[in-house]
Amino acid sequence: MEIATFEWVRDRFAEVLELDPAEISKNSRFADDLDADSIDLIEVVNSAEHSLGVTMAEEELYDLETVGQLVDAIDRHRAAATDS
Amino acid sequence: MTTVDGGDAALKAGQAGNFDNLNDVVAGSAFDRHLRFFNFGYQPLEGEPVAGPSLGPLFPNRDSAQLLFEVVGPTDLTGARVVEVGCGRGGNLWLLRRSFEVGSVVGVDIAFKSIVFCRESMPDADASFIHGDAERVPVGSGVADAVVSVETSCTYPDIEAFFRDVARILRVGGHFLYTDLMDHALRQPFIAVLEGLGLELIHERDITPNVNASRRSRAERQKLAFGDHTEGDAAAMSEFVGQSGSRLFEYLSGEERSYTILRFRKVTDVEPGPERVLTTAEQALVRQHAADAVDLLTIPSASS
Repeated sequence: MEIATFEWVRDRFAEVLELDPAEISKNSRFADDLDADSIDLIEVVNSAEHSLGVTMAEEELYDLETVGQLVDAIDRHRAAATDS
Repeated sequence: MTTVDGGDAALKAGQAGNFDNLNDVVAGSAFDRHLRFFNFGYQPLEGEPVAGPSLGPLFPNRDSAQLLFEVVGPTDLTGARVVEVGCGRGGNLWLLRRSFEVGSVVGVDIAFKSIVFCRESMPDADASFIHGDAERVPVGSGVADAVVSVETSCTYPDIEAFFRDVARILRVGGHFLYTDLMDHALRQPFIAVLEGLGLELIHERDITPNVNASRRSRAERQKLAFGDHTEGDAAAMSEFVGQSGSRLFEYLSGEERSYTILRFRKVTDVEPGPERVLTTAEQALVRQHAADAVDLLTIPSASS
């Protein structure tokens, strides 16, 4: 069964940031709400690339502000991979 | 009388080796493709204006990017041919291309593995990267609209030769956008050298508190990007990131040096003669600082 992207991202961020997954929603802002930085983001994205089979361009990451934006970006790649 | 002799080959080899080793440390890691900058970064203090385009909160190496924006300031780089001496892994030129409508960029660095990274990460027709010496920049005369130098000149044993090459490769009207940690005893002599080469100082600013703020808040986190290391490696990594307790951090906090932005505009061509502007004692101090930097940034296990 395919892994649900939001749940995967949420759980991975919870692990990296040592937070309760329940504290993380799609609307959570990385910097303001989660106190995450670029190193945390890169860790999660690198993990996503290995676990979810996506490859993300660096430029896609640099203006992300919320968990939901990252989930949407990963989903676009997963959909494209399915279509091809 | 002293003459330009091209500097100290052993120091330069050490410098190249240190940064080649750093490339090896991050090669293949999760952070490899994101690690474009090596500089100490800049954080605006409360109430200070912020130069350049706004960056997202998770922009990688955000403070390093901001340092470049502060160095560029109001300089118009539209369509400019920009040469960066000591380009490292290309972050500044990558950011200039991303943020301003520059015409083309040329990066020069003494560490071959940094040049390889730059070429692979920016395989574009308007971006060139050359393995070369900052004191003999392998670029033609009068070709640059701007020369950029960020936190690299303190490792040059013969900095006056570097300044001469900056003046040589700039066209009249071009800009030298320069920042580094400078010994107070050398800042005015450096300015005098550049003015003697036909450059006019248009901006001088001490940003030590801003760089210090960046190191205090970011160094420990950034060190994580270099992974796990032996005790000896960890010491060198602390220096690379300017972590609290490192010698380079102490320099930032001490009385003898300040992190300074200098912006110049070339107003005339000057053919330098054989005489040096820096005194023998000043040259010796420059060389000592370069030797110290090479020692501090040596990664024991990678170089053994």
